[in-house]
Amino acid sequence: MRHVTIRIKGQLDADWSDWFGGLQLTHLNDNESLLTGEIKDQPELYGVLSKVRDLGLELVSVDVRGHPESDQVSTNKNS
Amino acid sequence: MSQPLLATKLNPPANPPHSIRRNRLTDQLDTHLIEKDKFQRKLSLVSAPAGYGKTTLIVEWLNTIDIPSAWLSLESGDNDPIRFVSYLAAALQQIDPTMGNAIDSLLQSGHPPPAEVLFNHLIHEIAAHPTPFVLVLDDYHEIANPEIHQAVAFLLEHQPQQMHLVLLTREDPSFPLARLRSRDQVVDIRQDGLRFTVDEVTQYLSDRLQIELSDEDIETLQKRIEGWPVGLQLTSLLLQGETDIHKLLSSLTGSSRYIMDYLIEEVLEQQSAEVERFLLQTSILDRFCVPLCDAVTNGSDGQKVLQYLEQANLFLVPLDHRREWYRYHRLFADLLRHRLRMRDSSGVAELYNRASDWFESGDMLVESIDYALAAENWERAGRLLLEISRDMLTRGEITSLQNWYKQFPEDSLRETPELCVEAAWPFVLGGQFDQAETLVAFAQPYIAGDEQLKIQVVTVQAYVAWQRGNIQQAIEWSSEVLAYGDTIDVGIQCLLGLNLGMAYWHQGRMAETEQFLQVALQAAQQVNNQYVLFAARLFQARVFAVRAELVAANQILNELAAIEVQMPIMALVHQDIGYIHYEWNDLEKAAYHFEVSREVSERTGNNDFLTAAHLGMARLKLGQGNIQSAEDAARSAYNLAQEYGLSPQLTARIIACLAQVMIAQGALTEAATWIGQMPVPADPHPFYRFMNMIPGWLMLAEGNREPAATHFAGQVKQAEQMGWQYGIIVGRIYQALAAESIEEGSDFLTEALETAHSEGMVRSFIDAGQGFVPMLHHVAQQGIYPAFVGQILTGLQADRAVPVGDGLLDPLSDREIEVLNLLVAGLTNPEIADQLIVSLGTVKTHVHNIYSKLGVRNRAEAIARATELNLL
Repeated sequence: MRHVTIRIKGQLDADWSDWFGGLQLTHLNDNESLLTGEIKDQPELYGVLSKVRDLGLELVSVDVRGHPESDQVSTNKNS
Repeated sequence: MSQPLLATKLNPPANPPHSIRRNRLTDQLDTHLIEKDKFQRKLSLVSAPAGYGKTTLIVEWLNTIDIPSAWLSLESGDNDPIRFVSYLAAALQQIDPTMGNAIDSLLQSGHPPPAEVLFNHLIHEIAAHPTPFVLVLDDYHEIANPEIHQAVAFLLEHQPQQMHLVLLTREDPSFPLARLRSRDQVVDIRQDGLRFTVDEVTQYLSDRLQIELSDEDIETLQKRIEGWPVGLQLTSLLLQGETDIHKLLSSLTGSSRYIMDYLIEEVLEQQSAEVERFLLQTSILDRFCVPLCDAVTNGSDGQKVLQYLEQANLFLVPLDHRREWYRYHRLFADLLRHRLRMRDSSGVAELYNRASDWFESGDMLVESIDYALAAENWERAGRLLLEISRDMLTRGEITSLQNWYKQFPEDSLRETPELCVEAAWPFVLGGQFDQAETLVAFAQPYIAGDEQLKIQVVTVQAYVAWQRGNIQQAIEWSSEVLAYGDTIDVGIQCLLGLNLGMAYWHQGRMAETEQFLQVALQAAQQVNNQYVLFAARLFQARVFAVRAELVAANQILNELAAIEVQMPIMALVHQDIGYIHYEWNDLEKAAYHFEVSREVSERTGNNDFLTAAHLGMARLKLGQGNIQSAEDAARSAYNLAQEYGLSPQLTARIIACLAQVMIAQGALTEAATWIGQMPVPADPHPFYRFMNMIPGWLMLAEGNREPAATHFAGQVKQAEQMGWQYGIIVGRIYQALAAESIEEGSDFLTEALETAHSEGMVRSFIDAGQGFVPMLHHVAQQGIYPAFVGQILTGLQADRAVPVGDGLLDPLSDREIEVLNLLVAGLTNPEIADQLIVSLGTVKTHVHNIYSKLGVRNRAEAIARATELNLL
């Protein structure tokens, strides 16, 4: 599991959390919102990003923190 | 998609009545678009987020230009390459009904070729269309399959100047456009360009509303919605019903909420409870008509509400001219669906179930399955899939089926063994054998006591084994199933009978081949399976050929060749006709049929058959003495095997062919190395491939007569046991060559002639080489088939420059004498090249010329002949 923080412009109501697969919604002061939570892999992340896209929301930043070791393993498998 | 709905994808959605003309954008699209019936640019890329008016702009633009256009609206279900290409063909047929016809017939052949091949056909047809047209792919961001991206990129690269492509998308396509952009081949319309300017906002509002807004208000509004067209549209809906405009605008600009959330809430609040409920409930539908809405809402006022929505401009998009099918603006639908889930998340599944029900009753099973899966109603989805799966497999819609089956949770699959077996097929045919076997394993616990299920399971296993090249296992499993006799499904009998027949043929077991081809033919006639009928007849012909009944084989093959079908297997028909004519020493006809075989294999994208066609060509070139071309053909086959990982049997034949070419070049070390690499024993020739002549030929070329004689004797003995008449003839010919004396050789030769003469098989004798001439004279003098032997001798004379008397008709050049001396000294070809400081190719040419002038086939004979002629 990896922790993701997606920053978007505008203030999204908390009830959109469900739409984004359960990621938590937090409002920031400067007219931005954070989507945060755990994702299992890259396909899930891209799924969330395409939902951001489909609502016409403006993406500010994406940050993914996970376990570097498990990353290493999966990279090796793919190469 | 079910046929009745196809039109909804191919019509450009009608624009709402008050859409404004955006001349600054259409001008961009128009500038230098077309000159003298040729487009000056290839692509218009309209790339912006949802709700930026991409579709509206292009529909508007198409109405202003006087050029025919084809439209295709894409959805996530269109990621199946076969489905994509057939929709593309359907879209193009709106312009020219003849475009895409070849694809239709390929799709109906029962064994559709890879999508790549279909795309190539379509692009050829597009290129042939004489007059300008525009092709629009809407919602291109729905496409995620790299195979389709590649095909569209290929289309873009090869599209003729009569075509202009328009892509509408929420994200830039993944193929590189830099090169096209640098050559000024692309117009980009992007997010910032599509934002409504203050002027456009002013015009839009004054067109729709009877009220005037101050410049200041408009500027505030434009800023708040950031020129987002869909935001403006929603705002104008609010303004229509609002008396205090300033209050509305200030509360809109005062809020920092996601603007769509704010607007949609306000718009819904303006609606009656019935309309709101209708909007939310029908938002689950990708497209809808009145009866479908009524079914999903469990109501009867669909007609009335839709009329209202259209008048009120509530994001309703008509999808056909009769205004029967509609959809919501996609962003609007997403927003509604979100609100629906907020209100009543538990009731959503029921709505999907109702939609699934309605589509099923209208016999639109594809949609019905989509909605059943959305409802997570696995039982229902599974039942429908069992109904439709076979038809879709036949059409090659493998990816769609796979995507459906992948949605089922494992627990649900484990409970439905019939579904697991059916689900395995798209993975089997797609080459994903591991997944297929996992699915079949889920069904395994149920087979005890369920004979039908067991048969189904073993059928899949047999097919996988066959595909993996595990022929022995395939035969065992197939035989196990067929042993159930008439209790098994005719469709399965048909499939397994054919596979088993072909498997036995590849093992050289002709009696069993005949037996199971008969099973296949009978079953295929019952279910009218044209593919199996065709393939079974072809293999019957191949049985005749193996038994050296070439006239009978040729007759069947010519009947098959005359059938007008687009089937990959047609390549084998021509390949076999080519080999038969080669044996009859009609090299011209053989060349023609090998060429057709290559062409069909390439067109239908079948690498196995393409490889085989190269082998045929190599055989022909060897016969013509064109050794370099023969090597090129054999190497082409080898490269294919390397690239695509062909079966060990085919790989062995390719390597055997390379060894054969090396022997002809006198490169015996290389030949030995190749032979050492053969995964299984084989001969390149299709009709005695089960024999292993090559090592014997190498021994002969090395001058090791006795071991060669032993090797050939062993091969002939096996051929006699198995009834491979063709192999016996070829084996006897080489036994004769390897014989101790001309008398002993003549006995073998006579035996070969006895069976060969009635079928006119001269070429196998001619290919044995000039060293054969004295023995042929010997038998002819004894009165053994003198006319036939005469034919062989004539062929041998025509074949090469024959040495006359004790001099050479065509004397060796100084350089050739030099090479000959090095040959005699035992140097290999690369060593000779090093010595003489010339390329290996040059040495090969010299060696070939030397052999040809001396009338010999190998190094040992060359040395003997050169000594005889005092050339050294």
